Formats: sequence, structure tokens, C-alpha cells
Amino acid sequence: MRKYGKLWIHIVVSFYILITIYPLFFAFINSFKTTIQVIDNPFSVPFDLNFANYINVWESSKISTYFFNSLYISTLCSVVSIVLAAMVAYVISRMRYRFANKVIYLFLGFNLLVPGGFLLIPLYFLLVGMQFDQSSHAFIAQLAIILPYITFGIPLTTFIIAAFMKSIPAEMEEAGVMDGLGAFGLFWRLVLPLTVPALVTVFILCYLGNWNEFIMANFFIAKDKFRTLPVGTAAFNDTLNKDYGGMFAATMFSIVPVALIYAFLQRRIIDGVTAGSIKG
Amino acid sequence: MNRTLRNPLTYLLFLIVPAAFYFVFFFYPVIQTFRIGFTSSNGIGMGKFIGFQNYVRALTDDPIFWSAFYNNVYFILSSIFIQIPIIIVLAVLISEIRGFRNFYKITVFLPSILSTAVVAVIWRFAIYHPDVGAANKFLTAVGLSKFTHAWLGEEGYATLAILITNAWQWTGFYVVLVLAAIFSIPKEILEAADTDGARGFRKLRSITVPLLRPVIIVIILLSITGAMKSMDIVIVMTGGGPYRSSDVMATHMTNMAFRNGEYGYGNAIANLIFVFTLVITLIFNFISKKYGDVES
Repeated sequence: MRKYGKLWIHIVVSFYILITIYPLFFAFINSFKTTIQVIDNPFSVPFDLNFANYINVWESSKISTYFFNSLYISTLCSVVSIVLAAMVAYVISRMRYRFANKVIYLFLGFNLLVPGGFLLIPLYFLLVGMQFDQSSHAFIAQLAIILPYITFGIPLTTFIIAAFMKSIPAEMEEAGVMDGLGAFGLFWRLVLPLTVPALVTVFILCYLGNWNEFIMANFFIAKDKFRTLPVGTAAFNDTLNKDYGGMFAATMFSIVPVALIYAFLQRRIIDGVTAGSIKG
Repeated sequence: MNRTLRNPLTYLLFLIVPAAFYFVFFFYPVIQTFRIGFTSSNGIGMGKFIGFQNYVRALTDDPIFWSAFYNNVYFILSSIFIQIPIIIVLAVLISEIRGFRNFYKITVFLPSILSTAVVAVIWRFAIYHPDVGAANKFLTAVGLSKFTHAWLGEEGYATLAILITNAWQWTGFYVVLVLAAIFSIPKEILEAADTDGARGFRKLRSITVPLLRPVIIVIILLSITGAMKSMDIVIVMTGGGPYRSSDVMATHMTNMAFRNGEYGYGNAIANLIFVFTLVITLIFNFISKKYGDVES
């Protein structure tokens, strides 16, 4: 009896689940159809999986270029952010400079107060002044977003890593010092390995942020072939071609990798993202 | 021990690179935003200092600025008065059941880790397309075809359409936050409520929601800051159109700066966004404290 008493809850919640899934499912099924099929019958489920759209946008619409740009930029920026943040976190959580550490905390905390987009115009000036957008070399042109991505990854990452490092008992450090480790040795050989669980969490956080970032990538990169996946996908929407099937295939290249990683690491991702947002 | 961890040279070595990044790409732009907002900069040269002219223009002589501001306010109000009740109800419902709970939690959370730009591309077509979008198909199917619209192309509906998409992306995220808070409520309190005969809605209103106050405040604060900085969803879904009616302050800023080349004016808008965010947050803090005192 009690079991059936909760049935209505399942029905209500499932209704919301349906709303959540519907747009993604719609995009997924239509990514296998031709444009004519999309317009004729957008709701039919295709039983033969036709990957023509995927192959087509991958090869001819530069989606492969955007994909690899996003992949390496997100990875590079996350790794560098985390290395830099771990260094700051080590200093402010373990080194004995009370006043200076407080100042650093305040400086970093200030970043969390400043709304995104606030710095867009001066950053644009700064990066144009450095002439990244003029470059025809991919990496140099993309420095226009790589450098800000790294910077904006630092504050939150530092807070999360520092909170974790604080929990490492001082006795372990003392033992390390006895064994002749210096400050750098303590960091590299002792504290950092112990921090790995937190590092994985912040890596996912940083990576998702960079993979999904649209605004800076949209305004700071001038040449089409250096763009990232969200910008490339959005441009697909704006151009005059009416390749709807292709457009949905393009969205899948952004969504499927995230969804796959999410399928394996849901708990970690949920914990990391929610912890990150509350700290922010 | 102390000597190892009180070594100024190591301290500096560890900090120098991150500090360089932080100062060049964060602090310098912060100062610049503040400064350029008071100039007539148009991208060529640094512009003349013109005092508060940009601010006067935004506040008294720019109708788009105000319509954009109201759109930001709609974002905030709709999330406080419509989205948050839905979030609380969903979270409480999910917390009441055991079976599938994890599945529900994982699924509702999914949209929040996807790219907003990509979500906007999908919604533009899957829901709002005038011919094949689900919104019009649904209305036609239930016999309300006179209510169909070109959602993103009509002045009265573009902002609404964006609001709904935004709510779709973030509701599940907040549901998970509230769920975590519900599970951290001590069991004894809920059992005591049960023994006192509190059930259903009564229990929700008198026990659960008051205990969730801290997390609700966090959600409102996140909604306020999220609403004030939202721009990618607007850029991709409508580009601020039709006739700039769905612009928010941040997209108005980028239009002024990057499309019209009015960098000074754009920066003034950026500063206004910052000030407004601060003011709204303070007002909200004040209200929530006052309200909280009366209640406790």
C-alpha cells in the first residue's frame, strides 16, 4: 500500500524528467536525418542510424577543427590553471605567513565578486594590443583565450585545493622535513600527491568551464579556423545554410563527450560543480 | 620546520607566475574598466576623460539600456517567484522516494553541465521553431493553435522564451543543491514533526522550508548574479532581437562596444552592471535578514 502511495510522486517527477530530456533527445534523433526529413517529420525516431550528417559536418564544416581546438585548449588551460592554483594553495594553506596569506585570500576572493563579462572590453583591448588576433599561427591566435581561461580558472581552483590541503596533518610535513625535504620537495613529493582527489575534482570543473565557454571565444578570436566548438556550433545556427540535420550533429559533438564523462563520474561532477558554485 | 615553511624566497617563487597572470589578465582589466567608463574611448587611442557623461547617457538618454535592465530584472523575479518554488517542490518530492532517486538526480542535473551556447542552439530549433518546434506543435495538438507564435521573432515573447530556456538549464542544478540540504536536516527533527502529527504540506511549510532557508538564500544569490551576467544565451538565441527587445545589460554592453565601437560607453554599462548587482544583492541581504528576524 505504502509503495503505491508514492506512485504519484514518480509520475510528477518523471514528467519533469521528460521535459529535461526532450530537447536533447530531439536533437539526438534529428541528427540522423536529412534536412527534408527533419522538416517533414521531426518527431519520428529513425531506426536506421545514418551517420552521414556526422561525417559531413566533421569533414566539411570544420567541426573537427573546432573540436580539436576545444579539446586541446580546455586541457591545456585546465592543467596550467591547476598547477598554478596548487602552488598558490600550498603557499596559503601551509606556509607560515599569516598576514600575506590573508591578503592573497582577499585578492582571490575579489575575483568571485566580479561578474563575468565585466572585463570583456578592457581584456579585448589588452589582447588586441598584444596582437594575438593578427597571428596566422593557431596557438598564438588562441592565446587570446588561453591566457584569460588560465587566469579565471585560478581563484576558485585555489580555494578548493587550499581547503583540501589544510586537512593534511602537520605531522606528515614534519616527517618530510626530518627526511630532508625542502619547501619545494614537500610540495611536489608529499602535499601534491596527497591532494590528487581534489585535483581530479577541480580538473573536471575547470575542464567543463573551458569546454563550454562561449563569450570570450566568440569575441576574442577573429579567424574562423581558430574557433572553439561552442562558437562553431552557434555559427552553424546563424549561417544561411539550412542544414538542420548537420546542425544537430554538430551539437552532439559538444554534448556527447560531456554526457559520456558524466555517465562515469556523475557523483564527482555533481559534488565538484555544486561545491564550486557555493564557494563562488 | 619553521624555517622550511617560512622561507621568503620559496614563497615568492611559488607565487610569482600565478600573480603575473592574475595581475595582467584580471587586475589590470578591472582598473581599466573603471577608468575607460569615464572616457569617450572609441577604440582608437584612449579617449578623453568626460566625467559622468556616459553614465548620464545610460540612465537618462538610452531607452535600450532601460529595457535591457528590465529584462535582467525579469530574469531575477522569475527565478525567485516561479523557479524557486518549483525547485523546492521537485527536491522535496525526490527526497521522499527511494527508487530511481539517483537516476532522477543525475538526469535533472545534466543540462547544467552542457554548454549554454549549444543548449540555446537546440532550443531555438527543437522548441521554438515556428513550424517544427515543440511549443507550436503542442499548442496546435491541444487545439490552441491561435496561441502559436514565432517565439523568438516577436517582441513580447523573445525574452520569455529565453527565460524558459535558462530555467530549463539551471532548475536541476538547484534541485540537487536543495536535495543535499534536505538530506543534511537531522532525522530527529523530521521524526519529531511526524510524532507531533505534521504531515504533507503542513510539514513542508512549517518544518522543511524554514530549515532550508540558508540554501534558498544561496540559490537566490546565485540567481541574481547569474541573471546579471547572463549573455551567451541571449546572443545565441535572439542576438538581442527583435528590435533589441530581448537585450540584457551585458549584451547591450557588447553591442555598444564591439558593434558600435563605443568602448567608453560600453565600459560605463559594465560598471553599472557591477553597481546594480552589488545594490540588488545588498537589498536582498537586508530583506532576508529582516524577514529572518521576524520569523525566528
